[in-house]
Amino acid sequence: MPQEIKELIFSLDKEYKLAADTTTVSLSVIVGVMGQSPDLDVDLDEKELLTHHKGSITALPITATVGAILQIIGNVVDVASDSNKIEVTLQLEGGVQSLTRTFSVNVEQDGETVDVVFIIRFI
Amino acid sequence: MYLLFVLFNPLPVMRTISTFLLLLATAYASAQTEKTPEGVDLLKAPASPSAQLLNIAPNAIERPTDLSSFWISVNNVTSNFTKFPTDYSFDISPVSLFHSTGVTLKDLNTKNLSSVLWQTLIVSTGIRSVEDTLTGQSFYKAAIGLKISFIRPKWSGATESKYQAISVLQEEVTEKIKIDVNEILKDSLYQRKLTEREAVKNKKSAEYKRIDKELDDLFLILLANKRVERMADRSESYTRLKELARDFKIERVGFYLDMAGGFSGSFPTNKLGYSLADRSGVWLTGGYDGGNNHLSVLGLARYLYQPETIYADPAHTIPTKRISTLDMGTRLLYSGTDDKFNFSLESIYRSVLNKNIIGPSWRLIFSAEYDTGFNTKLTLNLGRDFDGSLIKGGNLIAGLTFIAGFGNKRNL
Repeated sequence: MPQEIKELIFSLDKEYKLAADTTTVSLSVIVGVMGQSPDLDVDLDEKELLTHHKGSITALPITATVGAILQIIGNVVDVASDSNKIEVTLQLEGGVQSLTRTFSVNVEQDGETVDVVFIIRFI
Repeated sequence: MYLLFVLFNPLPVMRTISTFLLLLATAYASAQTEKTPEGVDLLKAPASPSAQLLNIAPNAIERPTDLSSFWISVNNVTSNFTKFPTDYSFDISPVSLFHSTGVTLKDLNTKNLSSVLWQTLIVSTGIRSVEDTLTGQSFYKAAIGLKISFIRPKWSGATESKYQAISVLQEEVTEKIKIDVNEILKDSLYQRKLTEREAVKNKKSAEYKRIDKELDDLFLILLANKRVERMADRSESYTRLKELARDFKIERVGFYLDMAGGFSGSFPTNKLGYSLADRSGVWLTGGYDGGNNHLSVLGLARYLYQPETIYADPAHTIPTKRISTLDMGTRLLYSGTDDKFNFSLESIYRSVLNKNIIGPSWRLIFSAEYDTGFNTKLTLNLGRDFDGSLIKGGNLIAGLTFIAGFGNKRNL
Protein backbone atom coordinates (compact mmCIF):
# COMPACT_ATOMS: atom_id res chain seq x y z
CA MET A 1 0.00 0.00 0.00
CA PRO A 2 1.58 3.29 -1.10
CA GLN A 3 2.27 6.02 1.42
CA GLU A 4 -0.57 8.48 1.91
CA ILE A 5 -0.02 11.73 0.01
CA LYS A 6 -0.96 13.85 3.04
CA GLU A 7 2.00 12.42 4.96
CA LEU A 8 4.29 13.89 2.30
CA ILE A 9 3.04 17.45 2.76
CA PHE A 10 4.09 19.71 5.63
CA SER A 11 1.68 22.63 5.66
CA LEU A 12 0.08 25.24 7.83
CA ASP A 13 -1.74 28.56 7.49
CA LYS A 14 -1.51 30.56 10.70
CA GLU A 15 -2.17 34.04 12.00
CA TYR A 16 0.76 35.53 13.92
CA LYS A 17 0.20 38.50 16.22
CA LEU A 18 2.94 41.09 16.11
CA ALA A 19 4.13 42.74 19.29
CA ALA A 20 3.12 46.38 19.66
CA ASP A 21 6.66 47.69 20.10
CA THR A 22 8.44 45.86 17.31
CA THR A 23 7.79 44.80 13.75
CA THR A 24 10.84 42.58 13.32
CA VAL A 25 10.33 38.88 13.79
CA SER A 26 12.82 36.09 13.47
CA LEU A 27 12.20 33.07 11.21
CA SER A 28 13.92 29.70 11.46
CA VAL A 29 13.23 26.64 9.35
CA ILE A 30 15.36 23.74 10.54
CA VAL A 31 15.60 20.81 8.15
CA GLY A 32 16.57 17.35 9.37
CA VAL A 33 17.76 14.70 9.52
CA MET A 34 21.38 15.31 8.62
CA GLY A 35 22.07 15.20 4.91
CA GLN A 36 18.58 15.75 3.49
CA SER A 37 18.21 18.22 0.62
CA PRO A 38 15.83 21.19 0.91
CA ASP A 39 14.91 23.86 -1.62
CA LEU A 40 13.05 26.73 0.01
CA ASP A 41 11.66 30.08 -1.16
CA VAL A 42 10.73 32.72 1.41
CA ASP A 43 8.52 35.60 0.23
CA LEU A 44 6.99 38.47 2.18
CA ASP A 45 4.03 39.62 0.06
CA GLU A 46 5.63 40.30 -3.33
CA LYS A 47 9.16 40.61 -1.96
CA GLU A 48 11.51 37.62 -2.36
CA LEU A 49 13.58 37.21 0.80
CA LEU A 50 15.22 33.89 -0.08
CA THR A 51 15.15 32.09 -3.41
CA HIS A 52 15.91 28.38 -3.75
CA HIS A 53 17.69 28.26 -0.44
CA LYS A 54 19.42 24.88 -0.02
CA GLY A 55 20.03 24.85 3.72
CA SER A 56 18.22 25.33 6.99
CA ILE A 57 17.15 28.90 7.77
CA THR A 58 18.42 30.23 11.07
CA ALA A 59 17.00 33.39 12.67
CA LEU A 60 16.20 35.25 9.44
CA PRO A 61 15.04 38.77 10.42
CA ILE A 62 11.75 39.76 8.84
CA THR A 63 10.35 43.26 8.94
CA ALA A 64 6.67 42.53 9.19
CA THR A 65 3.63 44.78 9.10
CA VAL A 66 0.05 44.00 10.03
CA GLY A 67 -1.69 42.41 7.04
CA ALA A 68 1.52 41.17 5.42
CA ILE A 69 1.72 37.51 4.39
CA LEU A 70 4.87 35.44 4.76
CA GLN A 71 5.16 32.37 2.52
CA ILE A 72 7.73 29.62 2.99
CA ILE A 73 7.35 27.26 0.05
CA GLY A 74 9.57 24.49 -1.22
CA ASN A 75 10.41 20.85 -0.85
CA VAL A 76 12.81 18.46 0.88
CA VAL A 77 14.17 15.40 -0.91
CA ASP A 78 15.31 12.28 0.91
CA VAL A 79 18.95 11.96 -0.06
CA ALA A 80 20.50 10.77 3.21
CA SER A 81 21.63 7.20 2.75
CA ASP A 82 21.38 6.21 6.41
CA SER A 83 17.91 7.56 7.16
CA ASN A 84 14.53 7.93 5.47
CA LYS A 85 13.35 10.49 7.98
CA ILE A 86 12.54 14.04 6.92
CA GLU A 87 11.86 16.57 9.64
CA VAL A 88 11.13 20.27 9.35
CA THR A 89 10.76 22.61 12.31
CA LEU A 90 9.25 26.07 11.84
CA GLN A 91 10.06 28.69 14.46
CA LEU A 92 8.80 32.24 14.55
CA GLU A 93 9.88 34.56 17.34
CA GLY A 94 9.54 38.24 18.15
CA GLY A 95 5.75 38.50 18.17
CA VAL A 96 3.39 38.33 21.11
CA GLN A 97 4.07 34.60 21.34
CA SER A 98 6.56 32.26 19.74
CA LEU A 99 5.28 29.81 17.16
CA THR A 100 7.02 26.43 16.88
CA ARG A 101 5.76 23.51 14.82
CA THR A 102 7.64 20.33 13.94
CA PHE A 103 6.64 18.11 11.03
CA SER A 104 8.17 14.68 10.55
CA VAL A 105 7.76 11.69 8.25
CA ASN A 106 9.59 8.48 7.45
CA VAL A 107 9.32 8.22 3.69
CA GLU A 108 8.67 4.71 2.44
CA GLN A 109 10.59 5.12 -0.80
CA ASP A 110 14.19 6.29 -1.04
CA GLY A 111 14.47 9.61 -2.86
CA GLU A 112 10.90 10.70 -2.03
CA THR A 113 9.98 14.40 -2.05
CA VAL A 114 8.13 16.17 0.75
CA ASP A 115 6.30 19.45 -0.04
CA VAL A 116 6.68 22.35 2.40
CA VAL A 117 4.05 25.10 2.47
CA PHE A 118 3.87 27.48 5.43
CA ILE A 119 1.69 30.59 5.28
CA ILE A 120 2.01 33.15 8.07
CA ARG A 121 -0.48 36.03 8.22
CA PHE A 122 0.70 38.89 10.42
CA ILE A 123 -2.04 40.48 12.51
CA MET B 1 30.30 -42.89 -29.43
CA TYR B 2 29.05 -39.66 -27.87
CA LEU B 3 30.06 -40.94 -24.44
CA LEU B 4 33.55 -41.70 -25.70
CA PHE B 5 33.76 -38.22 -27.20
CA VAL B 6 32.73 -36.64 -23.91
CA LEU B 7 35.16 -38.78 -21.93
CA PHE B 8 38.10 -38.19 -24.21
CA ASN B 9 37.40 -34.71 -25.47
CA PRO B 10 40.68 -32.92 -24.67
CA LEU B 11 39.17 -29.40 -24.53
CA PRO B 12 37.69 -29.56 -20.99
CA VAL B 13 40.93 -31.15 -19.73
CA MET B 14 42.95 -28.36 -21.32
CA ARG B 15 40.63 -25.79 -19.76
CA THR B 16 40.98 -27.43 -16.35
CA ILE B 17 44.78 -27.46 -16.61
CA SER B 18 44.95 -23.86 -17.77
CA THR B 19 42.57 -22.80 -14.96
CA PHE B 20 44.71 -24.68 -12.45
CA LEU B 21 47.88 -23.03 -13.77
CA LEU B 22 46.16 -19.66 -13.69
CA LEU B 23 45.17 -20.19 -10.06
CA LEU B 24 48.71 -21.31 -9.28
CA ALA B 25 50.15 -18.20 -10.90
CA THR B 26 47.67 -15.98 -9.06
CA ALA B 27 48.47 -17.67 -5.77
CA TYR B 28 52.18 -17.22 -6.46
CA ALA B 29 51.67 -13.55 -7.26
CA SER B 30 49.60 -13.12 -4.08
CA ALA B 31 52.31 -14.84 -2.07
CA GLN B 32 54.81 -12.39 -3.48
CA THR B 33 52.74 -9.39 -2.48
CA GLU B 34 51.90 -10.92 0.92
CA LYS B 35 55.51 -10.65 1.85
CA THR B 36 54.48 -7.32 3.34
CA PRO B 37 51.33 -8.25 5.31
CA GLU B 38 51.90 -5.70 8.05
CA GLY B 39 51.91 -2.72 5.76
CA VAL B 40 50.78 0.84 6.25
CA ASP B 41 47.18 -0.36 6.68
CA LEU B 42 48.11 -1.73 10.09
CA LEU B 43 48.62 1.84 11.30
CA LYS B 44 45.17 3.02 10.21
CA ALA B 45 42.90 4.49 12.86
CA PRO B 46 40.42 1.95 14.27
CA ALA B 47 36.72 2.24 13.50
CA SER B 48 36.08 2.80 17.20
CA PRO B 49 39.00 3.95 19.41
CA SER B 50 37.41 2.90 22.70
CA ALA B 51 36.44 -0.56 21.42
CA GLN B 52 39.99 -1.00 20.15
CA LEU B 53 41.44 -0.08 23.56
CA LEU B 54 39.06 -2.47 25.33
CA ASN B 55 39.41 -5.27 22.77
CA ILE B 56 35.70 -5.27 22.00
CA ALA B 57 34.81 -6.78 18.62
CA PRO B 58 33.89 -4.15 16.00
CA ASN B 59 30.54 -5.84 15.27
CA ALA B 60 29.54 -5.50 18.95
CA ILE B 61 29.70 -1.69 18.84
CA GLU B 62 26.33 0.09 19.01
CA ARG B 63 25.92 3.07 16.68
CA PRO B 64 22.61 4.80 17.54
CA THR B 65 21.61 7.55 15.11
CA ASP B 66 18.92 9.21 17.21
CA LEU B 67 18.04 9.63 20.86
CA SER B 68 15.28 7.02 20.87
CA SER B 69 17.53 4.28 19.42
CA PHE B 70 20.24 5.32 21.89
CA TRP B 71 17.74 4.98 24.73
CA ILE B 72 16.64 1.54 23.50
CA SER B 73 20.27 0.43 23.26
CA VAL B 74 21.06 1.51 26.85
CA ASN B 75 17.81 0.00 28.08
CA ASN B 76 18.57 -3.37 26.46
CA VAL B 77 22.12 -3.65 27.67
CA THR B 78 21.19 -2.78 31.27
CA SER B 79 18.04 -4.97 31.25
CA ASN B 80 15.80 -1.98 32.05
CA PHE B 81 18.44 -0.44 34.32
CA THR B 82 18.53 -3.45 36.63
CA LYS B 83 22.17 -4.44 36.04
CA PHE B 84 25.47 -2.95 35.02
CA PRO B 85 26.57 -3.98 31.50
CA THR B 86 29.58 -6.30 31.21
CA ASP B 87 30.63 -5.55 27.64
CA TYR B 88 29.20 -2.42 26.06
CA SER B 89 30.59 0.03 23.56
CA PHE B 90 28.90 2.70 21.48
CA ASP B 91 29.90 5.34 18.98
CA ILE B 92 27.73 8.40 18.64
CA SER B 93 27.79 11.30 16.23
CA PRO B 94 26.51 14.28 18.26
CA VAL B 95 25.40 16.16 15.14
CA SER B 96 23.28 13.19 14.11
CA LEU B 97 22.01 12.38 17.58
CA PHE B 98 21.01 15.96 18.39
CA HIS B 99 20.04 17.11 14.89
CA SER B 100 18.84 20.51 16.04
CA THR B 101 21.33 22.42 13.90
CA GLY B 102 19.72 21.35 10.63
CA VAL B 103 22.74 20.12 8.69
CA THR B 104 21.54 19.66 5.13
CA LEU B 105 23.14 17.99 2.12
CA LYS B 106 24.81 21.20 0.93
CA ASP B 107 26.40 21.66 4.37
CA LEU B 108 28.24 18.35 3.96
CA ASN B 109 30.46 20.05 1.38
CA THR B 110 31.40 23.03 3.53
CA LYS B 111 35.01 24.05 4.13
CA ASN B 112 34.19 25.92 7.32
CA LEU B 113 36.45 24.42 10.00
CA SER B 114 34.00 24.57 12.90
CA SER B 115 31.27 22.98 10.77
CA VAL B 116 33.62 20.22 9.57
CA LEU B 117 34.74 19.53 13.15
CA TRP B 118 31.15 19.36 14.40
CA GLN B 119 29.88 17.24 11.52
CA THR B 120 32.72 14.70 11.68
CA LEU B 121 32.98 14.36 15.45
CA ILE B 122 32.34 10.85 16.71
CA VAL B 123 32.45 10.12 20.41
CA SER B 124 33.33 6.56 21.25
CA THR B 125 32.99 5.01 24.67
CA GLY B 126 32.83 1.58 26.21
CA ILE B 127 32.95 -0.55 29.31
CA ARG B 128 34.19 -4.10 29.77
CA SER B 129 34.37 -6.55 32.63
CA VAL B 130 37.68 -8.45 32.73
CA GLU B 131 39.07 -11.10 35.03
CA ASP B 132 42.30 -10.70 36.96
CA THR B 133 44.40 -13.73 36.03
CA LEU B 134 46.08 -13.78 39.47
CA THR B 135 43.15 -13.31 41.84
CA GLY B 136 40.37 -14.58 39.59
CA GLN B 137 38.30 -11.52 40.51
CA SER B 138 36.54 -9.56 37.81
CA PHE B 139 36.83 -5.82 37.52
CA TYR B 140 35.81 -3.12 35.06
CA LYS B 141 37.72 -1.27 32.40
CA ALA B 142 36.28 1.81 30.73
CA ALA B 143 37.42 3.79 27.72
CA ILE B 144 36.55 7.01 25.97
CA GLY B 145 37.73 8.26 22.63
CA LEU B 146 36.89 10.46 19.70
CA LYS B 147 37.34 10.71 15.96
CA ILE B 148 37.39 13.98 14.08
CA SER B 149 38.41 15.46 10.73
CA PHE B 150 40.40 18.68 10.60
CA ILE B 151 40.50 18.81 6.83
CA ARG B 152 37.76 17.14 4.81
CA PRO B 153 38.11 16.65 1.05
CA LYS B 154 35.67 18.42 -1.23
CA TRP B 155 33.08 16.61 -3.33
CA SER B 156 34.31 15.08 -6.57
CA GLY B 157 33.20 16.55 -9.89
CA ALA B 158 30.79 13.66 -10.41
CA THR B 159 29.17 14.25 -7.00
CA GLU B 160 28.89 18.00 -7.69
CA SER B 161 27.20 17.28 -11.05
CA LYS B 162 24.67 14.92 -9.48
CA TYR B 163 23.92 17.45 -6.75
CA GLN B 164 23.38 20.18 -9.35
CA ALA B 165 21.00 17.91 -11.27
CA ILE B 166 19.00 17.27 -8.08
CA SER B 167 18.96 21.00 -7.28
CA VAL B 168 17.60 21.95 -10.71
CA LEU B 169 14.76 19.43 -10.43
CA GLN B 170 13.98 20.55 -6.87
CA GLU B 171 13.77 24.16 -8.04
CA GLU B 172 11.29 23.14 -10.73
CA VAL B 173 9.17 21.39 -8.07
CA THR B 174 9.24 24.49 -5.83
CA GLU B 175 8.10 26.72 -8.71
CA LYS B 176 5.20 24.36 -9.44
CA ILE B 177 4.17 24.22 -5.78
CA LYS B 178 4.14 28.04 -5.67
CA ILE B 179 1.77 28.17 -8.64
CA ASP B 180 -0.49 25.60 -6.95
CA VAL B 181 -0.46 27.51 -3.63
CA ASN B 182 -1.45 30.76 -5.37
CA GLU B 183 -4.43 28.97 -6.91
CA ILE B 184 -5.45 27.45 -3.55
CA LEU B 185 -5.25 30.82 -1.79
CA LYS B 186 -7.73 32.18 -4.35
CA ASP B 187 -10.07 29.20 -3.98
CA SER B 188 -13.55 30.41 -2.92
CA LEU B 189 -14.04 27.71 -0.29
CA TYR B 190 -10.64 28.47 1.18
CA GLN B 191 -11.31 32.22 1.12
CA ARG B 192 -14.60 31.67 2.95
CA LYS B 193 -12.88 29.64 5.69
CA LEU B 194 -10.20 32.34 6.02
CA THR B 195 -12.81 35.05 6.45
CA GLU B 196 -14.56 32.90 9.03
CA ARG B 197 -11.31 32.60 11.04
CA GLU B 198 -10.50 36.30 10.76
CA ALA B 199 -13.96 37.14 12.06
CA VAL B 200 -13.31 35.44 15.41
CA LYS B 201 -11.99 38.14 17.70
CA ASN B 202 -10.97 35.93 20.62
CA LYS B 203 -7.91 34.12 19.22
CA LYS B 204 -7.78 31.79 22.23
CA SER B 205 -11.39 30.66 22.04
CA ALA B 206 -12.44 27.09 21.23
CA GLU B 207 -14.27 28.40 18.16
CA TYR B 208 -11.09 29.98 16.80
CA LYS B 209 -9.14 26.76 17.39
CA ARG B 210 -11.83 24.73 15.64
CA ILE B 211 -11.91 26.94 12.56
CA ASP B 212 -8.10 27.18 12.56
CA LYS B 213 -7.87 23.39 12.48
CA GLU B 214 -10.52 23.11 9.79
CA LEU B 215 -8.54 25.59 7.70
CA ASP B 216 -5.32 23.58 8.10
CA ASP B 217 -7.16 20.38 7.18
CA LEU B 218 -8.71 22.01 4.11
CA PHE B 219 -5.33 23.42 3.10
CA LEU B 220 -3.76 19.97 3.34
CA ILE B 221 -6.52 18.34 1.27
CA LEU B 222 -6.25 20.98 -1.46
CA LEU B 223 -2.44 20.70 -1.49
CA ALA B 224 -2.67 16.90 -1.69
CA ASN B 225 -5.03 17.13 -4.68
CA LYS B 226 -2.66 19.54 -6.40
CA ARG B 227 0.29 17.24 -5.69
CA VAL B 228 -1.49 14.29 -7.29
CA GLU B 229 -2.23 16.39 -10.41
CA ARG B 230 1.32 17.72 -10.51
CA MET B 231 2.89 14.29 -10.22
CA ALA B 232 0.69 12.97 -13.02
CA ASP B 233 1.63 15.91 -15.27
CA ARG B 234 5.32 15.78 -14.48
CA SER B 235 5.88 12.11 -13.72
CA GLU B 236 9.16 12.01 -15.68
CA SER B 237 10.72 14.82 -13.63
CA TYR B 238 9.60 13.24 -10.34
CA THR B 239 10.91 9.82 -11.39
CA ARG B 240 14.23 11.34 -12.45
CA LEU B 241 14.50 13.27 -9.16
CA LYS B 242 13.74 10.14 -7.16
CA GLU B 243 16.35 8.13 -9.07
CA LEU B 244 19.02 10.78 -8.66
CA ALA B 245 18.31 11.18 -4.93
CA ARG B 246 18.19 7.44 -4.32
CA ASP B 247 21.52 6.80 -6.05
CA PHE B 248 23.29 9.84 -4.60
CA LYS B 249 26.60 8.92 -2.99
CA ILE B 250 29.19 11.37 -1.79
CA GLU B 251 32.65 10.88 -3.27
CA ARG B 252 35.42 13.17 -2.12
CA VAL B 253 38.75 14.19 -3.62
CA GLY B 254 41.52 16.32 -2.20
CA PHE B 255 43.47 16.77 0.99
CA TYR B 256 42.32 15.30 4.27
CA LEU B 257 43.51 15.15 7.86
CA ASP B 258 41.76 12.97 10.44
CA MET B 259 42.53 12.26 14.04
CA ALA B 260 41.37 9.53 16.38
CA GLY B 261 42.34 9.04 19.97
CA GLY B 262 41.29 7.61 23.27
CA PHE B 263 42.32 6.24 26.59
CA SER B 264 41.15 3.50 28.88
CA GLY B 265 41.33 3.09 32.63
CA SER B 266 40.83 0.10 34.88
CA PHE B 267 38.97 0.02 38.19
CA PRO B 268 40.63 -2.82 40.16
CA THR B 269 38.29 -2.45 43.15
CA ASN B 270 35.23 -1.67 41.01
CA LYS B 271 35.01 1.71 42.73
CA LEU B 272 35.09 5.02 40.91
CA GLY B 273 37.46 6.50 43.49
CA TYR B 274 40.35 4.23 42.55
CA SER B 275 41.42 3.87 38.94
CA LEU B 276 44.60 3.08 37.04
CA ALA B 277 45.64 4.26 33.59
CA ASP B 278 45.37 1.31 31.25
CA ARG B 279 45.99 1.99 27.57
CA SER B 280 45.84 4.98 25.28
CA GLY B 281 46.38 5.77 21.63
CA VAL B 282 46.37 8.58 19.10
CA TRP B 283 46.07 8.01 15.36
CA LEU B 284 46.71 10.74 12.81
CA THR B 285 45.78 10.12 9.17
CA GLY B 286 46.40 12.61 6.40
CA GLY B 287 46.98 12.72 2.72
CA TYR B 288 45.56 13.45 -0.68
CA ASP B 289 42.94 11.39 -2.44
CA GLY B 290 43.04 12.02 -6.16
CA GLY B 291 40.20 9.66 -7.07
CA ASN B 292 40.48 7.33 -10.06
CA ASN B 293 43.40 7.64 -12.46
CA HIS B 294 45.27 9.99 -10.18
CA LEU B 295 47.90 10.13 -7.55
CA SER B 296 46.98 9.36 -3.95
CA VAL B 297 49.18 10.05 -0.95
CA LEU B 298 48.61 8.65 2.54
CA GLY B 299 50.47 9.49 5.72
CA LEU B 300 49.83 7.80 9.07
CA ALA B 301 51.18 8.24 12.56
CA ARG B 302 50.21 6.17 15.58
CA TYR B 303 51.12 6.64 19.22
CA LEU B 304 50.20 3.86 21.64
CA TYR B 305 50.70 3.57 25.37
CA GLN B 306 50.79 -0.01 26.66
CA PRO B 307 49.80 -1.52 23.31
CA GLU B 308 48.58 -5.08 23.08
CA THR B 309 51.62 -5.93 20.93
CA ILE B 310 54.63 -3.79 20.12
CA TYR B 311 54.97 -3.39 16.37
CA ALA B 312 58.72 -2.81 16.62
CA ASP B 313 59.09 -5.98 18.70
CA PRO B 314 57.56 -8.85 16.70
CA ALA B 315 59.48 -11.42 18.80
CA HIS B 316 57.82 -10.08 22.00
CA THR B 317 61.13 -9.69 23.81
CA ILE B 318 59.90 -6.93 26.14
CA PRO B 319 56.66 -6.69 28.13
CA THR B 320 54.22 -4.01 27.03
CA LYS B 321 53.68 -2.55 30.51
CA ARG B 322 54.43 1.19 30.61
CA ILE B 323 55.69 1.11 27.04
CA SER B 324 54.99 3.87 24.57
CA THR B 325 55.38 3.28 20.85
CA LEU B 326 55.40 5.55 17.86
CA ASP B 327 54.83 4.13 14.39
CA MET B 328 54.56 6.06 11.17
CA GLY B 329 53.90 5.20 7.57
CA THR B 330 53.47 6.75 4.16
CA ARG B 331 52.08 5.41 0.96
CA LEU B 332 52.09 6.91 -2.49
CA LEU B 333 49.83 5.29 -5.07
CA TYR B 334 49.44 6.00 -8.76
CA SER B 335 47.21 4.25 -11.22
CA GLY B 336 47.35 5.04 -14.92
CA THR B 337 44.41 6.02 -17.05
CA ASP B 338 43.38 2.52 -18.13
CA ASP B 339 44.78 0.79 -15.02
CA LYS B 340 47.58 -0.70 -17.13
CA PHE B 341 50.33 0.88 -15.10
CA ASN B 342 50.29 1.17 -11.31
CA PHE B 343 52.99 1.95 -8.86
CA SER B 344 53.22 2.41 -5.12
CA LEU B 345 55.89 3.53 -2.72
CA GLU B 346 55.41 2.53 0.88
CA SER B 347 57.50 3.35 3.92
CA ILE B 348 57.07 2.41 7.57
CA TYR B 349 58.92 3.60 10.64
CA ARG B 350 58.40 1.86 13.98
CA SER B 351 59.86 2.61 17.37
CA VAL B 352 59.62 2.11 21.11
CA LEU B 353 59.89 5.48 22.80
CA ASN B 354 60.88 4.69 26.37
CA LYS B 355 63.05 1.55 26.11
CA ASN B 356 66.50 1.43 24.59
CA ILE B 357 66.48 -2.36 24.16
CA ILE B 358 64.72 -2.14 20.82
CA GLY B 359 65.90 0.49 18.39
CA PRO B 360 63.75 2.09 15.73
CA SER B 361 63.52 0.34 12.38
CA TRP B 362 62.15 1.19 8.99
CA ARG B 363 61.07 -0.37 5.75
CA LEU B 364 60.75 1.01 2.25
CA ILE B 365 59.09 -0.80 -0.62
CA PHE B 366 58.59 0.25 -4.20
CA SER B 367 56.12 -1.75 -6.29
CA ALA B 368 55.32 -1.29 -9.96
CA GLU B 369 53.00 -3.24 -12.17
CA TYR B 370 52.38 -3.10 -15.90
CA ASP B 371 49.65 -5.02 -17.65
CA THR B 372 51.27 -6.10 -20.91
CA GLY B 373 47.97 -7.56 -22.13
CA PHE B 374 46.49 -11.02 -22.66
CA ASN B 375 47.05 -12.48 -19.18
CA THR B 376 50.56 -11.18 -18.77
CA LYS B 377 51.68 -8.75 -16.15
CA LEU B 378 55.09 -7.40 -15.38
CA THR B 379 55.65 -6.57 -11.71
CA LEU B 380 58.58 -5.18 -9.81
CA ASN B 381 59.10 -5.09 -6.03
CA LEU B 382 62.14 -3.38 -4.63
CA GLY B 383 62.81 -2.43 -1.05
CA ARG B 384 64.52 -2.55 2.23
CA ASP B 385 63.02 -4.64 5.03
CA PHE B 386 63.08 -3.97 8.78
CA ASP B 387 65.29 -6.88 9.82
CA GLY B 388 67.22 -7.09 6.56
CA SER B 389 68.44 -3.52 6.85
CA LEU B 390 69.30 -3.88 10.50
CA ILE B 391 71.40 -6.95 9.89
CA LYS B 392 72.77 -6.50 6.41
CA GLY B 393 72.37 -2.80 5.86
CA GLY B 394 69.78 -3.03 3.14
CA ASN B 395 68.79 -5.72 0.67
CA LEU B 396 66.38 -6.45 -2.10
CA ILE B 397 63.15 -8.04 -0.92
CA ALA B 398 62.13 -9.25 -4.36
CA GLY B 399 63.08 -8.84 -7.94
CA LEU B 400 61.25 -8.71 -11.24
CA THR B 401 58.29 -11.07 -11.67
CA PHE B 402 56.52 -12.00 -14.85
CA ILE B 403 53.06 -13.49 -14.47
CA ALA B 404 51.37 -15.27 -17.32
CA GLY B 405 47.97 -16.95 -17.38
CA PHE B 406 46.54 -19.47 -19.81
CA GLY B 407 43.18 -19.90 -21.45
CA ASN B 408 40.75 -17.06 -22.01
CA LYS B 409 41.73 -13.50 -21.18
CA ARG B 410 41.41 -12.86 -17.45
CA ASN B 411 42.30 -9.96 -15.24
CA LEU B 412 45.20 -11.26 -13.18
